[in-house]
Amino acid sequence: MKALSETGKRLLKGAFWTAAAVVFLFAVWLVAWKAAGNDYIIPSLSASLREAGRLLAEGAFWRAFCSTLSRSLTAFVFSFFSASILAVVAYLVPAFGKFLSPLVSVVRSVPTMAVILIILVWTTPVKAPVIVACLALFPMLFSGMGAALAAVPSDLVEMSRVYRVPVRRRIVHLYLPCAAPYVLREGAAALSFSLKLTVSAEVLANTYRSLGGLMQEAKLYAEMPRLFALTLAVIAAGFVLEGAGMLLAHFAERRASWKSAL
Amino acid sequence: MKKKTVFSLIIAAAFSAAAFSACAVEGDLSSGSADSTGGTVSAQIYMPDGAPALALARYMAEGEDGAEYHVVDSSTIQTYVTGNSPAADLCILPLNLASKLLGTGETYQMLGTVTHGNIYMLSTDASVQYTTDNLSALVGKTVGVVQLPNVPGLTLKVVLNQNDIPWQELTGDNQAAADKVNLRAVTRDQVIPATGYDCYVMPEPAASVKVNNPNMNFEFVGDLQELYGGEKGYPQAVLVAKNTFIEENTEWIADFLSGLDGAAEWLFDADAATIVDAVSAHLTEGLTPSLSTANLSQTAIEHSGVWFTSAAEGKEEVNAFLDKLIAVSETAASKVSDAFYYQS
Repeated sequence: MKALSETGKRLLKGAFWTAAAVVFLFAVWLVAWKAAGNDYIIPSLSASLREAGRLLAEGAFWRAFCSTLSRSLTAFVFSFFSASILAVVAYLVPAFGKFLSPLVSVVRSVPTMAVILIILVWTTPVKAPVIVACLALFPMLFSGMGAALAAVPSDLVEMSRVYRVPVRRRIVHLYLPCAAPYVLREGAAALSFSLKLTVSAEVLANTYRSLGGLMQEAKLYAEMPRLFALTLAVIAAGFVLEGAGMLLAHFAERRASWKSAL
Repeated sequence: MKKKTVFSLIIAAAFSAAAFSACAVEGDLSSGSADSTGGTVSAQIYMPDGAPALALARYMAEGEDGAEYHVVDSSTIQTYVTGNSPAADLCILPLNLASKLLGTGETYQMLGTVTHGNIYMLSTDASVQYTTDNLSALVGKTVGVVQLPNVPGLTLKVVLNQNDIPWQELTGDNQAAADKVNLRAVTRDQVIPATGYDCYVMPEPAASVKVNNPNMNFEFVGDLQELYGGEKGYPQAVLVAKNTFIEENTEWIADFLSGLDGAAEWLFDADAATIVDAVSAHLTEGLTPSLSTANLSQTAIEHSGVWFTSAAEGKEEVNAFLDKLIAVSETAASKVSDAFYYQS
């Protein structure tokens, strides 16, 4: 009971500070709107929230939202699994890791938003945002997973070899509990980053039936409250995705609480 | 500890608000002022980079008395005619945008139209030159349109509607139809033979760059201005002036407008470097100029449709074009009141 009420207090405190941060952001928006004095630079909060309400009632918005979300999840899943596989191989075969390292650096250095102009020549405005998001996410996830695997206590790894622990048991009871919380936290951040990248690429590619396409259209027709409302929708979605990922990481950490004994 | 937290939050709020304000206020720093007591007029004139800037290139090259010219990013032009203290005394902006922002005539009035369309059709197959008589030859074909949601695409749709030719937008969810003109949004970089569309629609001066590139084999196969309204083209960009500025500087306005016909003719006599330098000298700092000696050929200048039609002369044409744009897309434009038109 005491543990529960402590958890409850922690959750309440967290919720309070989150709410305070949101109120703070809205206050900053109000100050900026007043200072700008031009709704075509910064629209009023009330106009943007009203427009956000209208958006939520539009079928076209939800179709665009689902398409964008599906693209960003596709990019994330593809990047996550390819980064996982390559990170594991690089961990097991250090020579391969050394071979891969400069290639990952090249991919990390590619100016993704500029490259989309090239990618659009080869592919369609539907696929281009996915490719751009993958180019940005893969190096990030690969490095994170590599770091997570490298952080597995080497003495435990040695001990598992000496005692000839079966590979499957090593993976399930050693590597996963050590690496999973870190990987999941990186994954949570990458998930909301994927959404941001996908939307940005959709704006450049003017992808049909996408949040980015709707933002581009709102900008073209000088509908600033709509543009801000769409931006709020993307921020809220990113917040939810990151929060879900962090929650998963938290549970994974609790399950691996035996590590704290090391 | 609590005092520290509150103090930190206040400091963070102050810095954030200052940062936002700095970004927001920049557009309002230079506000126009006019001397109505017989002294030199100081006019702040804004225009988007590209073809609209050509309309005032001569004034920028020779230096119109009392005017300060600002060539800005086209995506920001609306910020100079809106807000509590709009920065622009005069401004060139797309007609559809002007209709939405200024159509009541309460703050600004339209002095006239300065460009009449600069959109052309290109194809690697020049065997068909599209006119109103054979426009139906586009049915069943796929047309790549640069800026499909914006004026180029809207104007093409107006033209197709005018000629009762069915069309559809290809979105990735639907296939090209044999009984319609299939419109697909493309970027400028996708206007290459390898993209494989039957025809492309794009504005000048980029269209001439494609046609002049020997590796592309593009030729002009249609003139959207002619397809819409013959020699007159369509009202694309308009010149507006603040009502208070007009009231205080009637003579200056009359002189300024009387020089605009000559300003259009000057473009054909001046060399490209002079025109480009005149425009670039007034460009927002750091903005990549869209006009260059490489893309500003005589053809591009001819195709830019720069000439001046006064508000009184062009009123009917403007209203008719706005109605047709609204019929294609309700959000693209708005009807304007009679008060929007300047009466000299």
